Order: sequence, then structure tokens, then C-alpha cells
Amino acid sequence: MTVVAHWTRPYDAARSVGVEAALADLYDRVAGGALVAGPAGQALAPGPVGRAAERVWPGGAPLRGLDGATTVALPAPVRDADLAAFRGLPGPDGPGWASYRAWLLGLAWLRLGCSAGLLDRIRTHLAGRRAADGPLLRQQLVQATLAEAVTDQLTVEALLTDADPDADSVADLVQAHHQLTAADHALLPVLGAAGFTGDGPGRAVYLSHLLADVYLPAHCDVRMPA
Amino acid sequence: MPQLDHRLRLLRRHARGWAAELRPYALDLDGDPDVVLRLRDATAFHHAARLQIPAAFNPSPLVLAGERFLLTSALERVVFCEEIARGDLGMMLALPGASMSGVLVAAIGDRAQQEWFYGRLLERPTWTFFALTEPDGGTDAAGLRTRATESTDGCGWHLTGRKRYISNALRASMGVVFHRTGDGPLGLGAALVDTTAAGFTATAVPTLGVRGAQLGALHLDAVPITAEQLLGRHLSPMRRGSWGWQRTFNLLRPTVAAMAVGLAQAACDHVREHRRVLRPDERDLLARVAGEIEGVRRLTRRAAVAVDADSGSGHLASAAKLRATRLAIGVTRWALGSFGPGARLDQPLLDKFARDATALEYMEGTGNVQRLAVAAALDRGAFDGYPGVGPTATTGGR
Repeated sequence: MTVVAHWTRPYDAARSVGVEAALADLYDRVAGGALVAGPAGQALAPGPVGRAAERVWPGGAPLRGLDGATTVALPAPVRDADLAAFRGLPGPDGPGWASYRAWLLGLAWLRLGCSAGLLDRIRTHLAGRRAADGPLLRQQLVQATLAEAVTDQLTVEALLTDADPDADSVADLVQAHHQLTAADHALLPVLGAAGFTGDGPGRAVYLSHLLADVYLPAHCDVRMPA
Repeated sequence: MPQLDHRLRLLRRHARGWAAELRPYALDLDGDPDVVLRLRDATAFHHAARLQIPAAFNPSPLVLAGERFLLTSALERVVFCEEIARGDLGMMLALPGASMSGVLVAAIGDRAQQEWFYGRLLERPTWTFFALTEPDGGTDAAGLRTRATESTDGCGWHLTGRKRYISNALRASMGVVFHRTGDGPLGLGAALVDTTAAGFTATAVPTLGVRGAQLGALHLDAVPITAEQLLGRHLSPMRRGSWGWQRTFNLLRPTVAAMAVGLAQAACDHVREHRRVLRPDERDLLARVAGEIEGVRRLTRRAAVAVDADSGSGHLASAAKLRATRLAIGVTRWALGSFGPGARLDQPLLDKFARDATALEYMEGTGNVQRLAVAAALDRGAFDGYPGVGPTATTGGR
């Protein structure tokens, strides 16, 4: 895996440390202490950023005095995460979409790291397990799932590595995010119920999908500047 | 028989009403599994606690408009469970009652064991557990490591091992523990266990979905049991082991499929209720989703009828569970997507539905287990109209 240097840290952190650490790095890199608002006016921020932020990125609006800006309870399985969720923020608009492309690109690298980390953990998990007729890693149904997932990840990597920073659309990045979500959905069941525990690999996958939900625009949301 | 008769429609209508009582507490339960303990006055709670008790042991079965319901048939369970899961799957799995253990006790328990088990259920609302899955071997019966060893004085047995992902493990007061007494398929067994027994410890396992079910891990440290607690001691080793288990799982699988159908329907209902204005393409998609749900619902009912006729006939149940799980996962994700960006935080009930749906993959055999079962059934010609072609073929199909 060749990660574009600028995004190495959020990728690596997501792959081997955790989503919260990776998100903190991504926020540092992109938003400089501001809350990053998604297209629905929501933000999911590292706890320290959520507690100290004074502005909203990408528009730069001051947080104080924003009518309707409130915190949102995190979903039950991740309520212990050091993250803060908000709604009622001004989302990207007009020229903000051009900056927002950089955020979606960095977030895609983060989520690729998370997906690759899931594959790492699955391979380690399966290496020591056997079915009635041999190692689980040698089962054709399992091998097919892993092969499809790594192919998805390689496709996304290729797309992100050569992503045009000045492209006038985010459609390619949205596709990359959806492909990662699909790869995770296919991979996680391979872990069996171990992928469903609140303190297991599924937690990072859930956070990754929560980030995608907050930050991925629907096609009709995007109005790039002419 | 995918269409319900008058009697089953009656059950469905009442169950739908009971589920509606539970729905307002669904998100509370997601945050705190003890919420179910405060719902003792809910009709579904009361009924679930006393259902699945056979007529011979049940002095006060559920009677609706003069019709008696025991929920001892797979078809009745399918109708009931779909509706309660449509209210909330987490709540469905958190309710007290015979549940999965009840099906096993009915299938292989002797008279005394059934009297003890059902008698406890009749005393007061009682949660039960069904301890099959192990930390390192999943639900693979051949790989079971939990052991029942006979005491050196010949006065009983001791259970030692670990179980994981056991629903209601912390609030149950009795259940069944799958184990082995020896190597090979004839060494498989199941025992009735009281959770107050010495050496029995349950700890919570936090989960991403169905959090109301409060999954747990069991640590069995030489838990003493008597010979009378070994289920099916009146049967041959094969019949009380893998043969009996397989039939039990066949009977349970349509129920899991029905829960998936109910959850998918709940997500579809949520879109209908909260997205009042739909674009034409969205209306088309909603209609397709509704059609898909109905198809799987009918397959599930067929599977229930098939296992009620012959509990050894589990291939339709595998197909139903396979497709119903995909349905629930797909429909809940589609429903979230239909609300656009930010749906998980803005529609927390749908986010919960999507998390709950993933649990279905791990209940009663994963997707791959069901795919292999369906493929094997196709090979041997078990599906009506599909002649067998493999070396295991036994019939010529239709």
C-alpha cells in the first residue's frame, strides 16, 4: 500500500491505532481546530476539538451565536468514545465545496486505513482457527470474501493516489467511500460474532461508517463553484 | 401456505398491538438493557414469558377470541416473532420465556426435565439462555470444548468450559449448556443448568446491536449437575446429540428469518411514515422493497410449514434465513440512505435498526453456513423441482 505522504498519518492511525486518533490527526491537518460540518450540517469531531472549537469549517463561521447549533448524543455503542457530535451547523456551500474535497479525500484515506486494519485483524483472527475440514483461511467462501475486499481496497487506493486535488466534482471520492463501506460490510461477517462486539473490530468499522454518514454528500447536495 | 388462516391472522393482529406497546422503549433499551425489567406490565412481556409451553404442561395458555395459542409450532412462532421484531428486535430478544431453550427441551427433554423447565417458567417471568457458541469455535458442534465429566464418586457431573455471545446470559435463571461427554459425534450433549449453581459466572459482552439482549460470556468452572439434568437421557446418544440438535436448529431457523422480516418491515414502515413526500424513483424503490419483504415473508412461512411437517427438513429454513438476513441488512441500510446525509444521527431508531440487523448474521448459523447447507440440499435434490445431480442425490425432484 502506497499512501500519499500527506495522508500517511491518518491512514496509519486508522489502520493500527484507532479511528479517534486518526480523526484527531485529520482534523489537525485540515480544519485547524474548527468543527468540520458535513452537508447535513452535522459534525463529528474529536472530543478536545468539540470542547474548544470556536469556528466551523469550511466556511469559517463563528460557532458562538449560531442559531440551532446543538450537540447530539452519540449512538449507544460508541457513547464512550472521546468524540463530540453536533447538528445545526452551516454545511459546505459554494466555494466551500472545493475545500471540502480535500476533507473527503483525507477522510477516504482514513477510512481506507480502517478497512485495511479490519482485513489485518481478520487474517490474524482466522489464521489460528479451523473448520472441520481445515484452516478457516483456506475455505473457498472465506478466501473469496477476502479477495473481493482487498480488490476493493486496492481500487480505492488507486483512485485516491491519483486523485486530482483541483477536480470540479467530488463524485469520484463519494464512489471511493461507498466502495469502502461495501468492502467493510462484506468483510465484517467473516469474523463471526467477534465482529459484532462493542469493543472489537466492529466498533472501528461502525465509527468509520458513522463518519461517512455525517460527511458524504448526496449527489444533489454538491454545488461546486463555476 | 404463505397466506395466514383466520386463526393466525388473529395472532398476528394481537401481536402487532403488543409490539406497538414496546416500540416507545426501543431506544431506551438500546442504551440500557435493564429497561426491559421495567416493562413487566407490557402485554408482550407477560405473554412471551408463558408462551412455548406445551399443552400438557400449560394450564393457562394464551386464548384470543376463543382460539388457543401455545406457540409450539414453527408457524405460530414465525407469525408472533415477525410482529414483535417489527416493534423492536432488541426488545424481542430481551423478553423472558422459553425461547430457544424451550424448543430444545421440547425436542429432547424427558418428562421430568420438561416439568422442571416449564414449571419454572410458570412460576414467574423467567429468562432462559441457550449456550452453544464458544469463544474459539463459534457454533461448530464438532468443535465443542465444554466438557461434562462424571464425578469420581459417581454422584453427578461437572460442567467446565466457556461460552460466549449468549443472549440474556446475565438475567437468565436457567438455560441449556451444550457440551461433550466424550470425543466424536456420540459424545455431544446438552444439560439444563440453574444459574445459581456454584461455578457459574456470567459477564456482559457489549455489542453494536440488539443491545437489549444483553449478550454475555459464561465461565463454567466445574458447575455441578445431576444426571437428571442431562437432556435426553432417555434417548440414544445420537438422538440426544447431533440428530436432536439439528432438528432443533431447523425448527428455530424460520423464527430467526421471521425476526429479520419484521425488522425489514419496521425500517420500511419508518421510511413510509417519516418521508411523506417521495420522488417517483423513490416511490418505485419503496414498492420494490415492499415486494422483496413480502417474498421473503412467504418463503419464511413455507420454511416454517416444512419444519412443522418434518423437523428433519431444514433446507427451506436455511434458504429463508439466508435471504431474510440479507433482506434485513439491505433494507435497513436502504432506509438510512433514503434520508440522505446525517441519517444515523438524525434518525437514531433507524441507526439502531441497521445495527440490530447485523446481529441476524450470527444467529442460528452464519450466511456461509446457510449457503453451504442450501448448496448441499440442492445437490441431493431436496428442493422440490430441482433434481439432485451430485453423489448425494436421493430424489429426482418434482
